[in-house]
Amino acid sequence: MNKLKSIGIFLIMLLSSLVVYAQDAAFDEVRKEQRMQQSIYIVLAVVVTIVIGLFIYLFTLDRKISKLEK
Amino acid sequence: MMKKFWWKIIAFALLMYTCTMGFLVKIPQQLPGVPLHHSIRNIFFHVPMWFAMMIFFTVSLIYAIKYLIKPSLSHDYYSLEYARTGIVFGILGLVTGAIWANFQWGAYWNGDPKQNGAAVAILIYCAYLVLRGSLTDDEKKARVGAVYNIFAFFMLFPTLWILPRMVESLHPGGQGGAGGNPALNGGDMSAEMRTVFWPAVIGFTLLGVWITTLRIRFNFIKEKKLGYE
Repeated sequence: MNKLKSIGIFLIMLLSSLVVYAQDAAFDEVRKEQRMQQSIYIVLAVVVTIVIGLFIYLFTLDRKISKLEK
Repeated sequence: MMKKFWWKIIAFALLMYTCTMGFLVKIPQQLPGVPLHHSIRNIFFHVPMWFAMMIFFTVSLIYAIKYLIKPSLSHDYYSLEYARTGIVFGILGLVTGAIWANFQWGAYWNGDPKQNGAAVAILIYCAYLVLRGSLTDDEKKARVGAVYNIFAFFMLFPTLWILPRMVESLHPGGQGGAGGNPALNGGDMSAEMRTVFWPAVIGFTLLGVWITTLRIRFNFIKEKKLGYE
């Protein structure tokens, strides 16, 4: 338990340094530009998630109908 | 064929490819005509809907003719379900087109001849379902449906392919526009875009076929169950 806690604290501190970095550079124009360019990847991730979800749904439906046919 | 899995995997792979490369592929910076910017990527999603719809309506027509030559329940199921999927894809095409039009042309509905024509074509197919629903006798339903299906299919040509090209249209291919066959040699797609566009057409078509076969299988199960009772 103690070990877990210390690992947790370590991780939080590690990540907090990232936040500080990000804030340092937040007003940097280059950074802003990069962020704008990366925004398309978010849309990509959303669309891919939806398509994967729909396909999983179709696969289960297909399986169910196959079972009924037997 | 219907129950095999390999082509469903292909559909999945092609759509995954479309949905990633569709966003990543390089688009031409300077396009002829209206500046489309990134919204040109809609070509990978909006246009395949219409391709798929045309394919489904064609398959539906083939089964309608087959039914009239040799009446059988399965031909009727195929004809009906492909028409239904075609309508779904057509509606999706209209809605995605409206979203794109709002951004590009300034309004969801511009009264563009191709928009109106597509709406009329889909309404004609909706009437197919209404007509079938209004008949109670199964055999009559199938036969009248098959005859109407042939009529509906041949109405697609004036509404989608001929009339929009005879007048000025916001869509490519109209009079006074870039001319040519829209999306195929309209000059608004680069070679790189074509490598995404064609997989998209095949992928969306296979997805529609999958949904249709599920519905057909469901119909057979229902029929069997009713037969036992």
